[in-house]
Amino acid sequence: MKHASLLIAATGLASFLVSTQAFAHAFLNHAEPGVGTIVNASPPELQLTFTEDIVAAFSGASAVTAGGAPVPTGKAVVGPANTLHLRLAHALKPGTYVVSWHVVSVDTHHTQGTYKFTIAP
Amino acid sequence: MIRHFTCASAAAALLLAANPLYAHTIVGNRVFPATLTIDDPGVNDELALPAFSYLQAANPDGTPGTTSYSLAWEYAKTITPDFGISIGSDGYTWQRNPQAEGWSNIETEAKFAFYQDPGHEFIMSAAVSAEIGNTGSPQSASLPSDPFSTITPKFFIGKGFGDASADWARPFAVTGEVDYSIPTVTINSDGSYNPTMLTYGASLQYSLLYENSFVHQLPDVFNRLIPAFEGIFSTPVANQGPVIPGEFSPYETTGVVGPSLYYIGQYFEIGVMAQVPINRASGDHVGALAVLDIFLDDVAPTSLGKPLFGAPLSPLARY
Repeated sequence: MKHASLLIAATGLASFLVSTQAFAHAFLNHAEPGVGTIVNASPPELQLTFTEDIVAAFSGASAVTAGGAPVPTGKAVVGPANTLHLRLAHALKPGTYVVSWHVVSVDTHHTQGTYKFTIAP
Repeated sequence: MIRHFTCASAAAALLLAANPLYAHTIVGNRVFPATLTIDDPGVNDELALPAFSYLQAANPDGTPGTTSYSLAWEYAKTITPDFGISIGSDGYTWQRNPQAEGWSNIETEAKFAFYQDPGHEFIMSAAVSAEIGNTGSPQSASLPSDPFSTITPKFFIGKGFGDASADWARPFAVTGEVDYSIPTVTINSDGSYNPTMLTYGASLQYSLLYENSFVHQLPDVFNRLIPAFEGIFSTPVANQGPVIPGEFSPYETTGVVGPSLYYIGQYFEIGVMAQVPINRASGDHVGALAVLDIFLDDVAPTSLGKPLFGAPLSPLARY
């Protein structure tokens, strides 16, 4: 009986906790184009979705070519679902690009990182 | 003599089934999970409840020894962002062959993360723990707690490889722990010995969480997982007692190794591990470990989950 009660309590607690999704530190959860992926055509914008709410004033992103040349973009804008939108000034040519991001989550933790994606010839 | 076999194998099983302290750590972009065989290298506000372990011991003659199930717990509290204390126990143990059960002693620990380099995802820390004798089940219980206290200095290290130039290497991380456990009573009233133990372990982790964020995007079902391989070993180094024919050597190293898997959410972690004994003195067949670890710094970031003094977690974040 003790085993059963403990198991039920643990399962209930786990069920409650599983219903929540995010990190105290905001990490990149999903990107368009995807982290490390190869796509066939240039997207109109880059989208970076984070694991928890971020503060727009302290969050941003930029992109460069594999050779380090800046990619012209608009200002990064935070949209719904913790997604950072970075509109491209013009379509990207085939090649590999490096995206750098920095964000501050609503509980003041800072994280940053880079990733690559490739547009196929 | 059979009783001696049973006691020796039970002691080995309890030692290996004993759960270390639990916590998760963030250094730079690296999340070190609360590993099952060794403690992670950080200081945090967490509640491990429950931590389950199962292991079957073997007798020196090859027959099955005791089978132990236990539910452990630990509460960790930060005093400053780099210094924390904890209280916990190996909890309640149900033993079969022979039948016995009882509470383990209470353990306390003070831990200091004295070096952190977020850019290189590198951390070192040290701790001193005290298992307080006779705070578990009384000596009249079928599975009494140790009647003596044990003091243990500890050293921890953690390194993530997010700074590696090769993308394939960046999700990897390693952690390690070395303990030196000194019992306050070396010879028991029945003439048996309480050895001084050197305990050491390590984990090799591959973070799909890290891979998803920085190297290659993964399907949602995988991107919060951290598979690992880990192990822990204990070697008696002093006060081993005499060699008794037909019993396990008092000089023998025991340990378990095995694969583990961790799921990291915002408020909790779930970890499971198959623990494979390294020799007969360590166990009879594959056992299991599991933990539900609640991140109090995320559940209550402005109250229970923040350090009593100093800014919460600022040294761990990357600016």
